[in-house]
Amino acid sequence: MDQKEKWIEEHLNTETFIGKAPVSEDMMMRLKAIPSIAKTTYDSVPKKVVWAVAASIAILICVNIFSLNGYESSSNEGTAQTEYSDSYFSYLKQL
Amino acid sequence: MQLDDQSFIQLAHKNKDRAFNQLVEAYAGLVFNACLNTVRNREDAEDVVQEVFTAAYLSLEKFEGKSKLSTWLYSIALNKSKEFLRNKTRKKRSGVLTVLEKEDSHMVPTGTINFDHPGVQLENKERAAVFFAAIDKLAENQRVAYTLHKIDGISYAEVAEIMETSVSSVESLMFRAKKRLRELLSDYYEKNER
Repeated sequence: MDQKEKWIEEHLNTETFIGKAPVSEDMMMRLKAIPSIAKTTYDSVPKKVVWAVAASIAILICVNIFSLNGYESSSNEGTAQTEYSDSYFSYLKQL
Repeated sequence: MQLDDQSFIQLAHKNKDRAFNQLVEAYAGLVFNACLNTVRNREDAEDVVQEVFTAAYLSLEKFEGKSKLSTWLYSIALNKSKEFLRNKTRKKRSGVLTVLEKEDSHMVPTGTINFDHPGVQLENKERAAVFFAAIDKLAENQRVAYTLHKIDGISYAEVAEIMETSVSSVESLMFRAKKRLRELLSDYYEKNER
């Protein structure tokens, strides 16, 4: 094996120069604290508030649908009234 | 500490926090070294490990034991490390270090800018830097397969599971990775060591 091949082999033989690193105590403590951190993060918004917001949105959507239906029926009535007044005025014109 | 996967699943359903504690005890070292071999900086690896275990904690109930616990954790570690490096590269590209990433800057050990691998002894730092610089020049899937098998010491079958591919694909990736690494190191030797 020539010098170059030896050098390449040395650099590919990773187990001779890359070892396992130990986990520090500080790191272990940080990892073990994850459940408490995750809980506080995810429980920071109370469930009551979440449900209240969801209910408000649902009510808002319902009110909008009802008012839209009301608007459509009132606009239909409006069309009927216009037709009535148009025929009334055309009758007057004839007079 | 060895953790039996089936008893872990049972414990996770009964007492999630206790199961997580055992998971940390058993696999913190493995996940830390896997992240370290990808991001190659102690501080960065510690941040990634924290993200890995947070993700594991949040999806602990979803683990059904279809794969080994270690495989599941390796998959999360791989995704989180990739995500971390993507974000880091994006930040670096907007900075002055972009010049180091150009193809013509032959094997500049970009990974050594913040290289702080506690598993590498001081006398081996240079050798490790050259090796990692060569690894960085490989295609992503070749790099992942090589790192998992050669550095982390995972079997082909497990690498295939982590990478969601077949064992024969992993073998092929490894063959090409070794060939390319030899070429890169040979090239580096001709230019710098002669």
